[in-house]
Amino acid sequence: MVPQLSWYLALSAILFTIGVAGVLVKRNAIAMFMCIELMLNAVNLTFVAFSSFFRDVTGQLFVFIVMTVAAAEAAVGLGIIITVFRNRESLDVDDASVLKL
Amino acid sequence: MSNHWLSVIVFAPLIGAAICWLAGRRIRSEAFIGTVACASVGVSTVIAFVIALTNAGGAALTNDTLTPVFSHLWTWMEVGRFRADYGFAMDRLSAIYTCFVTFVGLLIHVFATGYMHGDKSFYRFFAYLNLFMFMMLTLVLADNLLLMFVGWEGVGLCSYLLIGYYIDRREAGDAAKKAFVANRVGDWGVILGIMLVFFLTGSISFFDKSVIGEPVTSALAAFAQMPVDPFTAGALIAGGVTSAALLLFIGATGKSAQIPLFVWLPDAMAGPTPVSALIHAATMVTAGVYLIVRCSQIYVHAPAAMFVVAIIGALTAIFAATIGIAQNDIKKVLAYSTISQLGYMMLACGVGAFVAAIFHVMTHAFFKALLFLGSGSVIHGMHHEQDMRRMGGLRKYMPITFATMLTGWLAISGIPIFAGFFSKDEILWKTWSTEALAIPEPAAKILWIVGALTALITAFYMTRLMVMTFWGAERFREAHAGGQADDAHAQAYDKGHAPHDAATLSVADDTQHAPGGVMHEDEDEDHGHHHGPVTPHESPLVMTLPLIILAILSTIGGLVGIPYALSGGAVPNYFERALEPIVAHAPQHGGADEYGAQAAAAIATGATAHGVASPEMLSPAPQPHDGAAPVTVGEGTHGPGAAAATEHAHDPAEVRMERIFSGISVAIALLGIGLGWLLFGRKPLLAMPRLLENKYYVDEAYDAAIINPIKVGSREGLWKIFDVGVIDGLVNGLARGTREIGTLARQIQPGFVRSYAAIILLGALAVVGYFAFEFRHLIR
Repeated sequence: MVPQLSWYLALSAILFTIGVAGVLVKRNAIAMFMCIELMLNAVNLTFVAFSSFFRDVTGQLFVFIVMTVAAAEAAVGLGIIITVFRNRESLDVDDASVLKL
Repeated sequence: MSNHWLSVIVFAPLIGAAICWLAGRRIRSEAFIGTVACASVGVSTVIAFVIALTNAGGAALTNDTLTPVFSHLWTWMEVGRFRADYGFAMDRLSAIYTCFVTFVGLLIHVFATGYMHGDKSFYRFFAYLNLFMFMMLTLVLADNLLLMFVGWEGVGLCSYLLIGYYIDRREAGDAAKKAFVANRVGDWGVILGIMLVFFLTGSISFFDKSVIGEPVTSALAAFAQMPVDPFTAGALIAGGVTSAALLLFIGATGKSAQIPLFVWLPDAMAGPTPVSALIHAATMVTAGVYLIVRCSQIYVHAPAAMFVVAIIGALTAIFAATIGIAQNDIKKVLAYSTISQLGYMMLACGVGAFVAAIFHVMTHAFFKALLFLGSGSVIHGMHHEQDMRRMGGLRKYMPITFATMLTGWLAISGIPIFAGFFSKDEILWKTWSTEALAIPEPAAKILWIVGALTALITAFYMTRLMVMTFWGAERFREAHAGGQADDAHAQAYDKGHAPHDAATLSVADDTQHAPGGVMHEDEDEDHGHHHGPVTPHESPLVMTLPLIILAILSTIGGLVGIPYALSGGAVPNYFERALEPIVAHAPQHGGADEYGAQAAAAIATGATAHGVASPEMLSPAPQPHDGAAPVTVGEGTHGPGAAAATEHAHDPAEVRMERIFSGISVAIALLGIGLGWLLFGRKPLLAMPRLLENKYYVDEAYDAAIINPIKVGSREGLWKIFDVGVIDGLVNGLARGTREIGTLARQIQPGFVRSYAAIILLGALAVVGYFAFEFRHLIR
């Protein structure tokens, strides 16, 4: 049985929903971060699926861009998380609810 | 003709004021300041007399063509038909005013150099005084209503500054404010009156003249062409000539202290005495009379307004005179006397005797300035005691002051030969015999009775003043509390240089120069001695000399206006001859239908004929009565007009009546003096009715009826309700609303990352949902 486009899309949607739910539910900054990555990769999966379906390489190229941005975002995000942790002694994002330290 | 020296009359005192203020405050030399101030007014005086009397100057007072002397400086404003020039003009009326204002002003300036000696802000006093002269001369010499209004406001300002001259005394400040506010009420009338005059005639100029070849028409001449307003109460508010006259009269009641705005004048005595003499007796307060006589053409076309003027004048005269009986402060007596005399002048204006009004203005300027300066001399000699109950027997100590005030007393009481007699007698006679349309027959008699009664009371209270001050026991030796005196002046005086008159003090009293400014609690013998009695002394020459000159004028000044009935034609009535041609003549009772429109129209043309255009000398003709002697007044008015006034002045029956009335006047004056002498000669401290002593409680009534409601309304209504509620409420409400919105908007930014994420999600869902809904047909 050959995998169909809709299967990939369904999987992508499931992964994206898990990511959204995780961002909303989790209080741990690292966990939220991973959920964001999950959402990005769900989108990547969609790109690749469509690219293959339409026989068009543009979608795959776009995936690279997304991965690059995700890497940069991970670097910045982790930096912020480390700084917050140093000041708050906590990874709970609800503890960092004010702008002043 | 044009003569720019006229402007010098006005501007010389301004320059004097500037020098006193700018240089005087640094130099601080009394000699320098006094010289500058007196010299600047002296220059005005000399030029005024030259222009008024000599042919070289233009002979504003004596030339036969009746053309004023003009000095057009520049066009002040010109908008459409409206035109106001900064220009001066001296006709016969302003010539008389200018001459006595400058001359009396000069004397008072000289007097003030003595009176204010040692005062710590000598320069300020003379700067204000000179500024006042500038404004007063602007007022009387202005050639249009608006420039006159500048002077009118200016004298009000200077009056305010000078009443409040003793800035460290609260009552002086209060009195100054009171004067200013009362005058504002009047000024409101004047400015509206000027607007109405412009609205009715399209001009505000007093004279027909040409400015750089461009003709300017006179507003007054335009009024002369109008029909006489009907004599009804409705005319007062109809917006016609009568309304204009009434509005201008409201201004006159403010400036000339008539009912209901007279209350400021008695309080104005808080100023230095020379100020009281100059501003509140001789010059400024007569500006209202000047305004009415200047606008006589308006008034004769507004019989209803004239009737109001006459009634207000008569009421003020008797009202103020009765209050004058009971005052104990020497200046207060004179203040009420001034109000009363101003009432006389208004009465004269009201019955159409404009010449008599101006005559009384002039004689009053002489004798009232004299009396005020005399009282200043007494106050000065008594070391700033103003309460007559602490005087008495002063004639021994102050012979010159006594002698001069004696003439003032006889003049104001109306003893023949003295100036006041002629003017007062003429007013009373003109009141009795008036044929003016404005005054119904019985009203004239009632007004005369009021006037005669006032004359009696005037003689009575002036006798009281003289007796209490100059005769009787010497009450000033009794220890007293002081307090009522010119405290600030006294203190300034003591802080100053050694008193000029220290040498005249007797040895025993040389430590007592300090006036009773402060009351010490202890009644110890030594202290009692220190604040105890003073020995009065005669004032120095700079003060007595003006008194002497004014005394001479008060004695003989009336001789320029001897009525025909008394002189029999031997001495011409110079005053009437000078003024009669330039004032308007009131329309008179015609035949049976005196209020008929046709009669009024006929009268109007008659008034026009000799009110404006006639250059003839009207009265008195050298020969007493020609063939057509028994011309009745009613017929005379229907004639061409020019000859009418002359004829009626010499009707032998009238002459006989006038002589009888002069006799009555003299009898009244003597009766008043006699009564006063009998009553106060024995008991100078006789208690007066409390009602009069408290001035009919007018101040209290005004407080209760006007001032307190305004205060309470301002505090409870405007402040606590409008300001706090509406203004503050609006501002605070706006702020509160902004804060409420902010509180709501803040909810979406709690600082929790996950709520932001949720909001982003909702936003994304909304966008996706929108597209899904909008393009649903593509999906399937």
